[in-house]
Amino acid sequence: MLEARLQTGALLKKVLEAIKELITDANFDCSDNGIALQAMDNSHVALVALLLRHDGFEPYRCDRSLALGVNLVSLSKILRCAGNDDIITLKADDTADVLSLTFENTDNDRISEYELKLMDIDSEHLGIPDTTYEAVVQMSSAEFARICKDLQVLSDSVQIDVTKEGVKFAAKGELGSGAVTLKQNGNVDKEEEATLIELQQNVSLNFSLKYLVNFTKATPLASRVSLSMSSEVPLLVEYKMEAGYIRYYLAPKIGEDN
Amino acid sequence: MTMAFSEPQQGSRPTRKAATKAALAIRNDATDSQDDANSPPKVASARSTKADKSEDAFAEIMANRPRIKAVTPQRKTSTLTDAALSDNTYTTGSTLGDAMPDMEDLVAEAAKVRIAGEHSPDYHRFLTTASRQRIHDGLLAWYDINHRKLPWRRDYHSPVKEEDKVPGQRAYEVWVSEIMCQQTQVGTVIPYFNTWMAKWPTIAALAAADIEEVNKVWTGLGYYSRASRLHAGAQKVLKEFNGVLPSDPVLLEKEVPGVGRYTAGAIVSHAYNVPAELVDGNVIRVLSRLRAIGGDVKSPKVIDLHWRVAKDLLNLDRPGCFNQALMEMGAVVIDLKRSRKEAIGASKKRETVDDTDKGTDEKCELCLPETETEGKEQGLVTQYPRKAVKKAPREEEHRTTNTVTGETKSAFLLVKRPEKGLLAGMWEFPTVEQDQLQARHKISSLSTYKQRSESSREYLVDMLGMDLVMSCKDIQRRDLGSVQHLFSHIRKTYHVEWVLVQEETKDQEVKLVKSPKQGVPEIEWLSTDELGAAAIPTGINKTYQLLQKWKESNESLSGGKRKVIGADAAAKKKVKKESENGQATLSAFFAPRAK
Repeated sequence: MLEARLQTGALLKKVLEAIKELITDANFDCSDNGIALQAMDNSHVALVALLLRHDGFEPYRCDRSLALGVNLVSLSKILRCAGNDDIITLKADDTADVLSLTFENTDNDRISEYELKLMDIDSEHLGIPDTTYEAVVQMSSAEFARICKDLQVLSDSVQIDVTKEGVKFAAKGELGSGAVTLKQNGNVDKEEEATLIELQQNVSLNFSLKYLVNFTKATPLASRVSLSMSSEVPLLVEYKMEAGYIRYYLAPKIGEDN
Repeated sequence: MTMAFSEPQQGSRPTRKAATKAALAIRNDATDSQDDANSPPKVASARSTKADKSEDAFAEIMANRPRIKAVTPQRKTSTLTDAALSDNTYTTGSTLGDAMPDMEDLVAEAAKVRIAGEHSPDYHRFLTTASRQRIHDGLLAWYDINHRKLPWRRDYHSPVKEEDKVPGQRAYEVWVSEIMCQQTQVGTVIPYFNTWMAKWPTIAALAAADIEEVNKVWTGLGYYSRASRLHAGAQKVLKEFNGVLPSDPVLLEKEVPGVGRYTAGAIVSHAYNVPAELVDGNVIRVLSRLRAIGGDVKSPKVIDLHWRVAKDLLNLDRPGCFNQALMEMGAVVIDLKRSRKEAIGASKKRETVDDTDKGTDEKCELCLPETETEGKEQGLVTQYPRKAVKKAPREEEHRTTNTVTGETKSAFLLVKRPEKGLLAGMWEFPTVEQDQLQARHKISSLSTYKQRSESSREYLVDMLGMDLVMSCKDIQRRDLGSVQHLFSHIRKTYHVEWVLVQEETKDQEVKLVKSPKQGVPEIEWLSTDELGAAAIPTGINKTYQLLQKWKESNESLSGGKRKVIGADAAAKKKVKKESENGQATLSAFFAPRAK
């Protein structure tokens, strides 16, 4: 059985916000290591890999690995009933077909209990190879969100060029074109906003903005985001949390004018 | 015995230099090596003092042969100590090598393991009685003790039975076993052989059998033409030779379908004890090591040389047993896949120059020059048999086929394949090669299900006069995906479509709408049970399993308690659309992983 108690319920709410647009149903794979989720979107273009490590919960208990098939929209609806300061406890029996959620508010002694029906989800797990990326850009997550949103006005896709000077996001569409360049700047006072580039080789890749914008729903989870790229392999967008991560993989667009 | 291990260059890897030296030694000896036929084996040991290699080791083994088993432990120790004393690199090799049967040593001793250096073609032959006698005695002694018991063998371990005495009965058994063993491992053959013999104990019974039955029993062995040739052969032998296979290999090869030079040799020598030589892959492995034949074993001339050597080596007393001993050694001891490492230990440092067979000054043109890698193994028997170095990669044909599993509520539609070609005369689901379709439609690709299903519908109309779409109401069809089956030379992908048709379709006559070139194929509607019992090739069986799997998952979809979500058609459609505007999908990068 699973029992996991999360001190800051807001975290779970934010996680759900970050994935529910992209995928509708997914298995939460619970093991003694923590709670993980891996799912592709319907079109198999993007993949979400989520990990909430056991040490993020207090207490965390999972005797046997189990997969909880969940409709993410339903789960997020239930989570909306939880306050941001609530302590959330997740419970499931090994054979149960419901996930029970308990929201406790310590201020006004309010306890609410919900049960969510589970589903059998036939999901295929993908083996993601360990890749050494040619370019890794670490930047402010808010900055990344803003760039994606701004460029979406112009086009469906963005070309990302990484050189040792900086990273350039460029979009070209019917109404015109636009580009945002961030220079590598390790020395700014605010570490949070620095753009850091580790580069083996210059890369230039095209990605769908629609998906990138979707990924930036995870912005509230982390102040920093890392974009890892190599030619002709999927982009990895990673948001690191205190005890875990949320990673998005996005297949590149191929054959667009470079 | 220790002499075999204490050679001049103890502890050092045999080098090219050493080999050349040895080659020179032969030349010097050439003049005084005219002795042959009458000289007993001890000639070899007598001469050992002047040869710079220890050929007497072999003679010694031969002399001690009756005690071979008893001597083994003692020899093992000597090998180990010897190896330990000498080069460290040999230690692992020689321990491993000790696992090899005694005979491996024997072959190693007799082997003339040199590639470099010029030599006459006769170098590869057995020209003296003494040299032949050694091999005969050694191999037969080994074989009598170590041979595998096989249902078709009558040997030291399996004496002749009463029923074997019927004329031609042994020949029939050997024939069936040899045909079955072509391209197939002995272990696989045994159960098939037993079933076969239980079903058709005599050649007359086989001749009277139905070819469908024969194919069914053969199912799983592959190369189905072998079964039909056996069947045809049995009928011919019954008619023309009164049911007894001839004991003349030449006649056998000429008259009986499916019997080649090798099989003919095997049948007459094993069954009638007629001295006839035979060469197959196993024999080549043994002979090439015994006579250091360094030519490419794929070339006809080299194979021809092996035949000549095999003829030299015929044993007149026990030709059958000797031939089987040769094959057995090739099959059991010299297993190429595992040999290299293991055998190095067994055969290290044993460059025995057996130069009793001295030839003319003519140069051997067959042996290939030594290669870089072989140079390292110089002096080891394991370098034989050799293959030409640069070989074009095996060409593999990739054929793609549309398969339709037509089904009514009670039966499946099966079509008989043409009598020639791949899987001749076997039953399968209606299947059409994509290249035929592509030629007809003049399109280069049939990649989508829609294209495939439309083209296979047209094929059914043309070939069987069966328009599944027009003549059937409530038709259901599904794309089931594809299965692959590997034939020895063809990789075939079956794209499978499932079609549920109305019951009445079954009763329709096969009518030709257009006249196909090859005539109407036979068709049959089989129930699930009949299908299970029919002789259908493995590839089609996979197709059937795919269908069963789909049906099962379909049932659980509707019958399950909780909602089940899988990869749905809508998702696939979307993938298509996305990929059109250049968007790749993750499946091109990440492979699904088993849970």
